[in-house]
Amino acid sequence: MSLLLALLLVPVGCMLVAAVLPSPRAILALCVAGAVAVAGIAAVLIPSALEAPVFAIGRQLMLDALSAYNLAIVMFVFLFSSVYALRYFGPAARDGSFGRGKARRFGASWFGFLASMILVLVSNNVGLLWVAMETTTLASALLVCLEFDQPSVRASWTYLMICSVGIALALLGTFLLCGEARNVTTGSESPFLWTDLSHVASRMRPGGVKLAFLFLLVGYGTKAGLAPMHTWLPDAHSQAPTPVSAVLSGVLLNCALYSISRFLPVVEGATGGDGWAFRLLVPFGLVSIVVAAAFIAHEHDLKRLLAYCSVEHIGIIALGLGLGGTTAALFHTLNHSISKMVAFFCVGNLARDHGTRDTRAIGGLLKTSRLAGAGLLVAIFALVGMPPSSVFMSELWIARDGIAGGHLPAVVAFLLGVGVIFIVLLRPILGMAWAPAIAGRATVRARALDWPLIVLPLVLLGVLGLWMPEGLQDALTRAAAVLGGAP
Amino acid sequence: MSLNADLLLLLVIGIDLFIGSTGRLGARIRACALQGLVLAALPLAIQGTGVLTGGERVLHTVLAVLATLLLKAVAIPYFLMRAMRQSGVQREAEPEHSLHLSLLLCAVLVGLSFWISAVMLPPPEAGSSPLGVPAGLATLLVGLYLTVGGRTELTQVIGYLVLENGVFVIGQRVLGEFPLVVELGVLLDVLVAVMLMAVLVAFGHRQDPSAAGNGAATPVGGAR
Amino acid sequence: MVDGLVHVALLILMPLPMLGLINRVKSIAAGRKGPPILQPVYDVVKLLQKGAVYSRTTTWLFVAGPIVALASSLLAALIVPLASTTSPFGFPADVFVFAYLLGVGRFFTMTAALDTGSAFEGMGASREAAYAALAEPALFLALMIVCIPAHSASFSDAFASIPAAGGLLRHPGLLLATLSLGVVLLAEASRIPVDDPNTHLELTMIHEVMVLDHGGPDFAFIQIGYALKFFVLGAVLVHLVLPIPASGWMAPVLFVAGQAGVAITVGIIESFMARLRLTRVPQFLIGACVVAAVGVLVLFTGGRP
Repeated sequence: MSLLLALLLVPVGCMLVAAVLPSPRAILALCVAGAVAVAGIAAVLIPSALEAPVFAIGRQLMLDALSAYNLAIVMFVFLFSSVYALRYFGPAARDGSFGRGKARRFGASWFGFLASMILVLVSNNVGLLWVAMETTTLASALLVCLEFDQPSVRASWTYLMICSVGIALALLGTFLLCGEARNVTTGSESPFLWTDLSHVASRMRPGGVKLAFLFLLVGYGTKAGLAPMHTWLPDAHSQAPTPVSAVLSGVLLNCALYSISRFLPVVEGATGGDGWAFRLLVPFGLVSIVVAAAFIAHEHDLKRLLAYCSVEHIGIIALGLGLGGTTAALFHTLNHSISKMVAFFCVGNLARDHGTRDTRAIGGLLKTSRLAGAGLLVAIFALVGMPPSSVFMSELWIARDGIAGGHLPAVVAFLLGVGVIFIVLLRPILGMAWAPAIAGRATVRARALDWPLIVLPLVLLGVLGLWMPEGLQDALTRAAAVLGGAP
Repeated sequence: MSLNADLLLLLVIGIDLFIGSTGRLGARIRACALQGLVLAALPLAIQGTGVLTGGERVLHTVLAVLATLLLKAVAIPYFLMRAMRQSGVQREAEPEHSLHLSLLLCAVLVGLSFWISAVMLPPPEAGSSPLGVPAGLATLLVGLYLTVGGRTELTQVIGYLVLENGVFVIGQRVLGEFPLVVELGVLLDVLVAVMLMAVLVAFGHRQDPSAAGNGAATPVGGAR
Repeated sequence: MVDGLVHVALLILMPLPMLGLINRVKSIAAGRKGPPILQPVYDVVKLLQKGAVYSRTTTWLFVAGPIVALASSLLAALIVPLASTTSPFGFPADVFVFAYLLGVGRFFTMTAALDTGSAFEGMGASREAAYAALAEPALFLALMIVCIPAHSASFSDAFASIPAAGGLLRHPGLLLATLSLGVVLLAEASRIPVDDPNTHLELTMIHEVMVLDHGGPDFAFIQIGYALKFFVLGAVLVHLVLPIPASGWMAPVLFVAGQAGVAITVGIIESFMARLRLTRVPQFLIGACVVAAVGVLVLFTGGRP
């Protein structure tokens, strides 16, 4: 059995086991163990995949440089979130409010979610990619409504409805694209495989391919949270349990964006490489940044703030791809995932300590919950692009590549948008940090497990901001080579 | 055998119009089931009886037809019906537009899809039904209208299903046949999505019958 | 010549017994024996022997109503080919004249109703006008489906082209035209589910309430005109569904069988359907328009001609 298949089957196996395990604590432990196991397999696979694509089951599954890079991010965030889930649900599991049914539901959907995300990344078949993408929606919708109370059910409903409809449009786009490809494939070439699609791309009719890509962009763009299709995102990300929010924001959006970006070289091949598909991403990216800025300014719910911040960063990544900074956009994907994950961990701890997520009702952050407060502050600083965080570096790269490509107006709009978000996002956070503590709230000591969860990624962000390791640079270049870039 | 396909596709359009013109959710769900049935029969009509003597393809087609039949015509309507009974909402309460207008709007959408496929898309290949793309597009647009304009959650779910059906009709037209794993995967995903939606709808109404469907903002707070 | 005689004979002999046939079917479906099939003929004969009473408030319009209604229906029946693909009075573009003859008859029936000055009949006339306004586009669209492939707006050419196109089952547009024309037939002839010819509750009546004040020969004229209208619309339907040959003994046989089929179908519909709520009727008719419009669209997408 190939390792690539194992990468898929291990989470599926964990899912089945989690559905029958008797104790909530055992399920939480399984979450960590399973994540470690899958991450181990991925760690073995990724270096070889960066060299040359790895195939399995005929050519249905494929891990190439781009998917390997994304897989690394997924596994990193997922591993940390699994540990955080242990930390997050642990007390509730002890006092019984995280019961057996809920734990089984969580464990099964957690691994189902992981399996479907991995399938998105390793699928070489565009149809299978769609199936996997819809499965991530289903699994994560189950996670969003884990609490099964009114707001979470409402959020889960909105999420499921909007994303399902959006993704149905992506299915149409997939069919249209494969229909075009079917007309030009010969012999053993399949119109459904990435590897063959990129070969036959230059023979396809540009008109049909453009139409198909529009549907794909709108469809998967809904899932990626690109404005104006982002309306489900704040509700779903804020109502989900915090470990789930971290994965939703940190990597699920990336997976959707990955699906879009995979189609870029195919469309470019069919339209003669004039950058039509890349240019299409620019307005979506800019609108996402502007919309996020507008909503962040009026938001008081911490998790919703972070959710809108995700809309912004997905917009930045799309913009980076569109402006020709493919490498920078991929680097930004990594930086956003790490910083957003830490931010959610801190918010989760704060919300538990203070019993609320309202920024106006929390004060004296640095005094009452020192680690989570400081962690949140640093993470937000990173998210708004303060040097020396690596987010600053990747945003700088995107701006530089944009200017080099002659897209000055777009870059100016981008910098303005990011500047506005700098102000409106820091305002409530700084307020929380330096406002006097609300009377009667005791100082909460962090647990031992919190330290590595929060400090380690933040250190990583700082290091990446100052020094780019040789290996990462190499991986970025290889992954970007799969996509090509806007001319 | 393209004639039967023509008639089936006309039936698909007719069902769209019917769904747009009735306010009773039960009738809409039943119409949806009928559309699933038509969709299941469509590959047979397009490929003709020759498909039953085609060796290896037989298993593929039969499996796809059976799966569509079982899921779209039986299982999904069953779950929707149950959700309808549990939520206690039998009809579209104060529809966005009067039903006359809704019917006319659906008719306009049908006309639009005929226009789009005549003007903007390449002509159909010889031997395939000329109605494939317009019928699929019409179904897709009507589904989109129902999801966006529907007042009750169940209408939105039905709209999603109709939209999905439209995508399938177009897909069948441009692709001929789907790889089995894709077709089954898509069907399974739709089934699970509808089951989940049905559970959420039923729960939403059990909790708070009045608040359902008005999309009120979720309150700030909670220790999550 | 023979064809012409057959045509006239059919339109004299068939319309009233067709109504009788509908009633018979309904009776049988309800488990009764029912009146004889010729009962409507007896009724009309009885009415013709009676005298008429005219209210002092009425004018010549009231008298003209039934006469014009009968005359226009008769003319329409002469235009539409019956047991052949030609008709005695057929001419190019007779389709439009046919449609508007039906309109003229309706207009005068309505003015006669308004002429009585009774609010009740005014209500009936208003309903009739509203429904007719919705049924007429459906009629035109359905006729368009038949006429466009024939490149001619005359019934003879249009009907002659149908067998060439392969008939109903080879021609999806024709199927839609038939459906929509069927609805128009039910609406124009005031049958269930649009109107109930047997209702005793005046508030729900449409056609009957309009002709409430006519008596004796006037009412007989209205009855005959009404039967004729049903008959001609039925004839158009029969031509859409059955391949009536241009001549020969098969033609009348097929035609009579087809008309009987129409009557039986209507009878069955009436037995098993309830009248629609008044507010739902427009939707039913709009539905017919939409169906016919889709049929026209199908023609233009290069569906089989």
